[in-house]
Amino acid sequence: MTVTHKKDMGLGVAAIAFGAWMFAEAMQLKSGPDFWPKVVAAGIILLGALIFVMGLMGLRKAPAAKGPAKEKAKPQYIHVAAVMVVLVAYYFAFQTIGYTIPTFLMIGATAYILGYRNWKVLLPTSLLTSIALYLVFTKLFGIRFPGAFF
Amino acid sequence: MLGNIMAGLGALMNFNTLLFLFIGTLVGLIIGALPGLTGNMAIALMVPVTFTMDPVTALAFLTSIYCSSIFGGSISAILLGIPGTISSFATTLDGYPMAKKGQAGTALGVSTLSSVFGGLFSAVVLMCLTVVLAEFALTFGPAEYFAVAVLGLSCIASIGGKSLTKGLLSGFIGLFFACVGMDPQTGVKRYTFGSVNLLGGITMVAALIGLFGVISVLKSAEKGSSGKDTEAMPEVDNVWIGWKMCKKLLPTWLRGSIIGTIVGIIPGAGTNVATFLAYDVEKKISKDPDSFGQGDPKGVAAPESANNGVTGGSMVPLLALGVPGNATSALFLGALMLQGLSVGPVLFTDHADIAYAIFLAFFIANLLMWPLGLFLLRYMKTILSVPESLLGGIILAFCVTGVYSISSNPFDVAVVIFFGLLGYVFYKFDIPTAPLIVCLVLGSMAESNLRQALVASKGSLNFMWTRPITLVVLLISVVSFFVPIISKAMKAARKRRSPDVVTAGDIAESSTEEMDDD
Repeated sequence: MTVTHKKDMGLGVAAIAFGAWMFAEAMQLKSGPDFWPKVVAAGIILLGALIFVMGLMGLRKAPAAKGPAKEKAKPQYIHVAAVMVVLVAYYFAFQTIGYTIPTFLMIGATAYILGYRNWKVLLPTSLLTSIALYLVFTKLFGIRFPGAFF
Repeated sequence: MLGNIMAGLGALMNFNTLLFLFIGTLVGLIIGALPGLTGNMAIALMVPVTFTMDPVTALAFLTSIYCSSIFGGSISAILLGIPGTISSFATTLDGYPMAKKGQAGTALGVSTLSSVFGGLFSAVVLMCLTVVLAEFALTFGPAEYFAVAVLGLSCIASIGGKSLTKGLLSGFIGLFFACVGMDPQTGVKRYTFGSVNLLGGITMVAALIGLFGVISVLKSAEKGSSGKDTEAMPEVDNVWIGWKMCKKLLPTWLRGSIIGTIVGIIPGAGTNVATFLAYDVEKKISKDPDSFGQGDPKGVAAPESANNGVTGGSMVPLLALGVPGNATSALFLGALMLQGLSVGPVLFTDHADIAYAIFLAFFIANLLMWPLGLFLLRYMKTILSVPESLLGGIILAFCVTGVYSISSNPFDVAVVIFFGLLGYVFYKFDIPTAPLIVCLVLGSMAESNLRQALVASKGSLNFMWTRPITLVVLLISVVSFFVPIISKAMKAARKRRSPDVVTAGDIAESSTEEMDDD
């Protein structure tokens, strides 16, 4: 429970900081276009403060943990980070190399990160999906992809 | 009206459109049935594909995906005990026990016919009510449209999940993203960070694809799936339930469809509210309430007719007033904008054939769902055995390829990645994404109409109480905002008094927390 409250307090601080930045940027706009962003920024600051206070109150009220905590599956953040790396790498690769090869690699790498290990299925699925998508989007929808190769 | 119906029918009746209606029904059924993949995700992935189609084909395609994905969710709910979409959560309560008793075929048959009935009922209401509401909205000016936008924004209190403050924060962040780009009235740049790509604002479809598509893969990665997530499934016997059973279930279908359609029309109420409400009503009026939860066909028929009843209902405020009441209608709005169409009364005055074609597409999609659903149910065991881990990469490929194809701008791919990451951060902090989506869509509508109304009233806010329609809509917005808050507070007080009593509403609420959107 305390972890949730601490997380909420952190979220509150982040929201206040974001709202303050948004308000400061709105201050530099001329009268008219600045009205709505200022209202929105004030709302974000207010909500951030509320979330922080509620988190703080919850932290004070939360009883001390008794006995061992419940066993819960640990989130695999490394897998999440790996998928994000694959996506960012793909973003740059498809603009330089081309569509099909980076797409083939992205499908295979993502499935591998997610835990799929049957190579006999994974390789043809990745290859056929990337080629099929390329053909559908270029031939059927007339889309031109960037990059050196197809 | 008859002339418009004929024009709509004429626009729909060509090989290409009918083919895409068929493909859409098939795609929606399969994606809806796969646990972890939602109907909204299917629509988000397919919106870019519709860019190259003509408007009628594009919207008919998305309509069929919407209708059939809601039904598809019940298949895994019955066969695996895992709802494919949040709207099928209530179906699990009786569908899975039926399957375990060896009545999987009957449960699936009941679910198919109930969904078809609910969908057709809501399509009739959609056609009748939208036209009346749109005609009424012809008299609206900026003040009224501002009030309507506020009504749409007020729904964030009910779609905001368990924490109101976090729901509101999500909504305000959505309003921030709506500010990005050139100011629509003066052309002043706001929050563009010097990038020309942001001058036109955040590409809505790219943001939605990130929030629905990428996030599902990131959640799957976090779970650390083993790739062996195939579970033992019961055998599917005869799926035809017989006319006698149909006659017995007819009153249940009617009640479920009415509840679903009404709930669908209310912005922010959501499918899970409709399904649990229908289930609860059916249980309360049943002569044998104890049979519910043990495998009663009525426990499948009520939520399934209700969730497909929501489909047509949720389109009423979008098509008549331009206000999306949930994430699905926000996706439809994105598709309409991609086609260069405006929603609200102008759709009926300028493109009546397209508006009526959408209504008729709801009918045809639901009718197609009947034979296609019954046929496909035999192969569902094979489809459901495809592991989620293998699908992750394919979903990402669809996300980036689809979004790039809209305007051939690699920057949109970056937007997808950014919003995917933002959605994951929201998920980790228990912040719902639905309010962000609704506010991102409605933000500019609220802002520009408020400013125009202020100019017309020479800077005074008196237009809010001197114009009757504006006042009424704003009062409804206040009610719509505060009713869920008061209801939640009352529920919490009741729970404090008797903590052991679990109601259908509690289950609905907990299911919303587990699965943010359909």
